Amino acid sequence: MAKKQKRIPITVAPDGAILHTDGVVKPKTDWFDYVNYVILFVFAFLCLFPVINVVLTSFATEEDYFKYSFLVIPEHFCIDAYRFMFQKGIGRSLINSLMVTAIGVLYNMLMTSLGAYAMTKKDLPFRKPFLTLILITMFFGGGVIPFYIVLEDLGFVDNLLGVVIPFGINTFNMILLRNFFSNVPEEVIESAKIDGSGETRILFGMVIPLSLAGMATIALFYFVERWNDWYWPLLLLTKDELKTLPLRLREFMEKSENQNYADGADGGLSFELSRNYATVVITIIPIFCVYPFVQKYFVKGVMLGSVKS
Amino acid sequence: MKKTNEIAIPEVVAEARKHKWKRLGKKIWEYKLIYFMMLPVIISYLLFSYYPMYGILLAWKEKLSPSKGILGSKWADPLWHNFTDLFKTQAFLTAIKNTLVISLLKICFMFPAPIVVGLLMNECKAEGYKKGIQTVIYLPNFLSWVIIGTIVKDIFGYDGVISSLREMFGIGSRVDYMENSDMYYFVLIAVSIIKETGWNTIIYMAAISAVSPTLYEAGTIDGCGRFRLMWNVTIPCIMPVIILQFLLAIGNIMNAGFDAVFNTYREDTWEVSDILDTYIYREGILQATNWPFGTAAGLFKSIINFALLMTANTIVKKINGQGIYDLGD
Repeated sequence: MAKKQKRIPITVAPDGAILHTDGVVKPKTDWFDYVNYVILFVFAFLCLFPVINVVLTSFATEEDYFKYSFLVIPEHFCIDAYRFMFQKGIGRSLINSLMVTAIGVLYNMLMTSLGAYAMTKKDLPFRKPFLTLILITMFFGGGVIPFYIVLEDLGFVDNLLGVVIPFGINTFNMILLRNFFSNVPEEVIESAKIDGSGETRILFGMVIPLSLAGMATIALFYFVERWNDWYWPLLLLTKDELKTLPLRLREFMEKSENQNYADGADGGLSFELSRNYATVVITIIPIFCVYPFVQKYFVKGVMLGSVKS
Repeated sequence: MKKTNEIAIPEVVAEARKHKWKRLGKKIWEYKLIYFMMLPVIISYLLFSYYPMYGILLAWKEKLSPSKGILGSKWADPLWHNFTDLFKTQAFLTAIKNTLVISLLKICFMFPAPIVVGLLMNECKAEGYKKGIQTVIYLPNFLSWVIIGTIVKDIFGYDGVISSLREMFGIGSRVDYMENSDMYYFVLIAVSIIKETGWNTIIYMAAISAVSPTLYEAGTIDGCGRFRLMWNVTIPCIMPVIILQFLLAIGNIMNAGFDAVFNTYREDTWEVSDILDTYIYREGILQATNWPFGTAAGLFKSIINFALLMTANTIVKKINGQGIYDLGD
């Protein structure tokens, strides 16, 4: 992809087609291009439309919602849904989620960098057993119940650290990061060693700063994993004051199925769906904030990782 | 070790052997900090990946008695009855069937989607437009299935868009598709395609971008149009990636996607939607008395999964000379 962008047009052929330096004739736009644009647009529309509707519905009243069955336009713009959710203690869950994510991503990045750096050392004695230890876990595991019993034994039930510490390393991410670390030239590391830097200095002062794209990619993956995680929190965090956002969202979703909260329970104009969607919006905002900044990194990152493997 | 013993003089060989251990010791000392760095990683793997494997023993126990621990709990009598019980349970058999059906549907419809979209993206000439499309189609991958589940329930539910359109165009009355067993697979697969296709194109686009431009030049000179180039150059060039992804999908056939199903299924559709993972969750985890039974079900799944993955890995190794998760050195 990058190669294509680098081509510089030098001549224009008589029929209007642009000749590139490498001699490839870029054909004129034909009917297929238009069909292609339309297909891609429809696909992108299907991806984005529901999200837009969620945001709009969260600000709408029930009247608006039933008036516009396709694209909901919040004619009577109201924030009652959000007010209701915060009354129901979503603020607490928001703080829990932020805490779990912040501590979790830091811990994930630390552990993953340590492991990935060790994996790059090609002549490390006992490297094979170390790699085997890691790779076996990609094929076989103990299963959910034994894992739960271990976490219970270690006191991770009803403990916010319980959804952080046991999930320190995602093996896929570690291998991906290793690929980035391997790209740091051997000579750079050797010369640092000759200058007397220790391995810790080399890792944190050299290898990590030189693999920023990789670090950003992995950090995004971990961020999304921690932020969206709901399965283990569902099993481990049973107390209300410890619940994270996705758990609350699930709860509200299920409650609205049983219709425990009557519409207008808060005296406002919010209704079941707008309240659910308000929670969804609160949950999505951080992802939307981080996503555009990291996007250019992760496309490169995943490509590098996948081409290598 | 260096090949110093090519001439193989006995004394030299003996000397080299003696030094081998010394050198190994020296090397380990040289890497002491690396070992120190590896320590937390190894502990983490041992504690959270290997220690739970011991808990598998629970599959042969009657029930877990908290005071005695897993090993001290009473053995099942007869020993294998948790496993034989599995196959006497209709719900479990249904779950196996559903898991396979959903996985196969995914392979048929979800697997080709990113290849098609990747090829289309490659044909897209307007770079700005392409970038915009990419930004949008990668996005759903970052939303959790809890969120998607909430949205899906609204779109396909009784008051949802689909139901409204149905009524508007006079096709029929309002229907709650989420409670309709006949529609469940359609809803699940359609939503999964929208959520995951965009993200999965990345790997194919990476493969496409690695195709040598000279092949396209040669093709153009031979008079190939864009479709011929796509068919005769791009697709054969990305075939190894397609095969790898295909084998991975086969290897993961027992994982029909817990998150997706769990957040979209209803009790009314269990007949078609209950997969192994959701079954284990409901029957095993939620009821502590059933833990041995749940563990047995989980183990059954893990073993088949392991066998499938190993087979896929062997085939990949034969084709590529490198396994799925080999580190290339």
